[in-house]
Amino acid sequence: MSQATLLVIQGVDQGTRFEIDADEVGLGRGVHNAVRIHDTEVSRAHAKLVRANGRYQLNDLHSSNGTFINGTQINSRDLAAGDEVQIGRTVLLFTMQPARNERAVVTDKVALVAEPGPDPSANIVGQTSPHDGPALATLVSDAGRAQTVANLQVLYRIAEEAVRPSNSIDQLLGRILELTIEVTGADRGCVLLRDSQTGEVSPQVFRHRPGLKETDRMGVSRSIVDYVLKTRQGVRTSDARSDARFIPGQSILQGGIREAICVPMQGRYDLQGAVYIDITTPPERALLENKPQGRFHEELLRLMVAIARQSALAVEDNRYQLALVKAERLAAVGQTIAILSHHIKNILQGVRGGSYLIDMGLKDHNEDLVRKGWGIVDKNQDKIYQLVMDMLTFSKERQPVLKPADLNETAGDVCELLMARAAELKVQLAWAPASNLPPMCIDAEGIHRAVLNIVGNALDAAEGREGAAVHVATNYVSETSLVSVTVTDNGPGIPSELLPQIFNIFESTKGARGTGIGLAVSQKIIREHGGDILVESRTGEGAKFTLEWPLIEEAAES
Amino acid sequence: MSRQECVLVVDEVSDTAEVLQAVLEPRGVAVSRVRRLDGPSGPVNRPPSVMVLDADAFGAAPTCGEGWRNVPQVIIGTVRSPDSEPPDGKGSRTARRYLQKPFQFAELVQAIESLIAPK
Repeated sequence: MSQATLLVIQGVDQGTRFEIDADEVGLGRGVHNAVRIHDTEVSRAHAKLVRANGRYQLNDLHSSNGTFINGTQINSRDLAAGDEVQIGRTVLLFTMQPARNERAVVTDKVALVAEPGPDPSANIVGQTSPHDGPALATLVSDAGRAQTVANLQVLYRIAEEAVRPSNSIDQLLGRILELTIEVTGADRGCVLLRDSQTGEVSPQVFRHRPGLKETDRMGVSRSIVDYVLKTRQGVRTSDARSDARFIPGQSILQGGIREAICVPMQGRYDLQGAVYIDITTPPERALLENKPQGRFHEELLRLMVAIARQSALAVEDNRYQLALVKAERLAAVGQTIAILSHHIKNILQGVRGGSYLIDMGLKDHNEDLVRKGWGIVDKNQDKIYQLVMDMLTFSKERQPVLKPADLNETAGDVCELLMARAAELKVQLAWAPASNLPPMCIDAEGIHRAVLNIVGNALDAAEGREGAAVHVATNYVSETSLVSVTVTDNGPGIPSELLPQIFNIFESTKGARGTGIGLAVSQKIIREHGGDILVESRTGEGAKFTLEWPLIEEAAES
Repeated sequence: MSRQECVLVVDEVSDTAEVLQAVLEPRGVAVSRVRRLDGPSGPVNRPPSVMVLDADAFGAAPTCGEGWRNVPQVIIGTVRSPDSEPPDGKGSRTARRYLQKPFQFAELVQAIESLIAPK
C-alpha cells in the first residue's frame, strides 16, 4: 500500500505532516479532524479525503471559503501526487510514496541494448548541441514563429512543472516525461540518470502514451546514449535506412520504423543523464508511404534539448534540497542528543549525590543521612519520569483522548502535586478554581501535563524573588465559549526578544534546569484542543501564561 | 580557626548544595547556595572560603568583585577547559579545581577540603 501524506507548506501549521492512514480523513479546524488546521479561514469540517482502491478523492464539505486543488476550486476530485490543496490560507502538498517496486518496474520496461553492427551513429539523422537551445527563439520565418510560440508554451509548462514541490525526483521526472510525451506525440519515453560517482547510466523513470498497447520493453540504444553523453549533443535517430536494429530479430516489416530522440540533461554543474523518447510507425503505414517520412523532426529535437535542460536543472535543485534536508536533519538530531544527554547527565548527577549520602548514612548508621539522600534520589527519579512523559507526549505515538472531565479537578491536582515543591522553593502557590465551568471534554492527561509544565516553570521563575508567588486559576467566558487556565508569577519576566522562541523545542532559558521540552509539549497539547498558549510578560514584572481553548462539548468518536 | 569556614554553591539546581550541606556541616563547614552570582538571590556579603560553581549556569567562570578574587573555586562543567590543571594555590592566581560532569561526590568533597586545608 502506498503511503499518502499531506504536508502543510503554507499557513500557521507550516511544517506539519499528516499521514493519511484511514479510508476517510477529515480536513478542518474542528478537533475531530485527523487533518486539523489551525486557520481561522478554514471551516470546522472543511473537506474530506476518501481512499478507495489506492486512489484518493478530495471532497469539499460545503465549506465557507471553498477547497482548491492547484488553484482550481473543486467539489470533488481525485488527488495526484504533487497536487497542492488550498483551504483557507493554508496550502497542503499531497504526496504519495510510489510502490516500492517501481524501480524494478522501470528496469523491467526499459532495456539498455548494446546493438551489434559497426557504427551506431549511422542511425543518426539529425543532431544538435545544447548551445542551439536559444535558437528556439530566433527562428525568423512565419511558420517558424508559430512553432517558436508553441515551443515556448511547452517550455513554460515544463518549467512550471520543474519548480513544483515534489516528493521525489522520480515523481518530478515522471510528470515532466508525461508532459513531454503529450506534446511530442511520442509513444514512450524514459529518463536515464547518471550516477555522479560511477558515471553509470541507468533508467530511472519510464512513461508511455495513454492507450499504447503495452508490449515489448522499450529498447534504448546504449551506444546512442553513450554518444549523446560524450558529445553532449542531442540526436535524432531512425532505423529506416539501416539494418542495424536496436532490438535484434526485428525488421521493418515486423516492427515498422522506429525513430528516437535522445538528448543530454546538462545541468548547471554536471551532466545529469539523458532523456530518450521514441515512436514507431506501424509497418502498414511505413509500407504505404513510398518514402517513409520521419515523424520526429528537427524542430522537435531542439525542443527536446530545452526540455532536457529544464529537467536537469530540476534534478540538480532536487538534489540540493535533499542534501539540505539531510544536513538539517543531522543537525537537529545532533542538537537533540546533546541537549537530552546534558539534561540526563544533570539528573544522573543528582542521583549520584543522593546515593553518596545514602552510602555514607548506611556506613555510619545515620538514618538522617539516608533519608536526605533518598529525598534527592526520589526527586531526580521524578525528573526522569517527567522528562520521559514530555518526550512521549511530544512524539506522535500519543493520540489525545477527549473525554468528559472536570478541568478544576485536573488543574487542582497539579497545584496539590506542586505544593511541596513550592514550599521547598519558598514560593507561595495560590489556586483559584472557577465556579462557572460548564461540562466539557478535555484530554485530561494532556491538560494535566500542560498545566504541570507551566506551573513548574512559574515556580522556578519566582524562586528567590521577594514575596515569590504563583497564582493558578481556571476561567470560562460564556460569551466567547473560551475555557482557560491562567498561571501568573512574579519572577523576573521574559525579555521580549526571547518571547518568539520560548515555544521552540529544546529552547530553554532555564539553564541547567530546563530541558526545553516542557513549553513545546504544553503548546502541542493546547493546540490539540484547538487553542493556544498566550504569554504576557515584561522584564522585571513577572509573566502570565494563558492556556486557552474553545469549549468542547462532545467527545471525539473512537 | 579564626572564623567558620563556609562554602558557597552557585548552581541553578539545589542537589549539589544539599549533598554538601549534609556532608560538610557536621564537619563544621557552612554551606549556602545562590542560583547565580548576579541574580536576585545573590550575592552574599562575605566572601566564602571556597566557591563551587556550576559552569552550565553561566557558561564560564564569573568575574567577581574585589575581595572575591582570591576565593578558591571548584568549577563543575561539561567541557574541560584548556587551563584545567590547577595552579599550586600558593601563587597569585586563584586556586582552582575542575570537575567534569558526571563526577563522583567523593571527588567534590575532596576538592573542597583540599582548597580549605592550606589556610
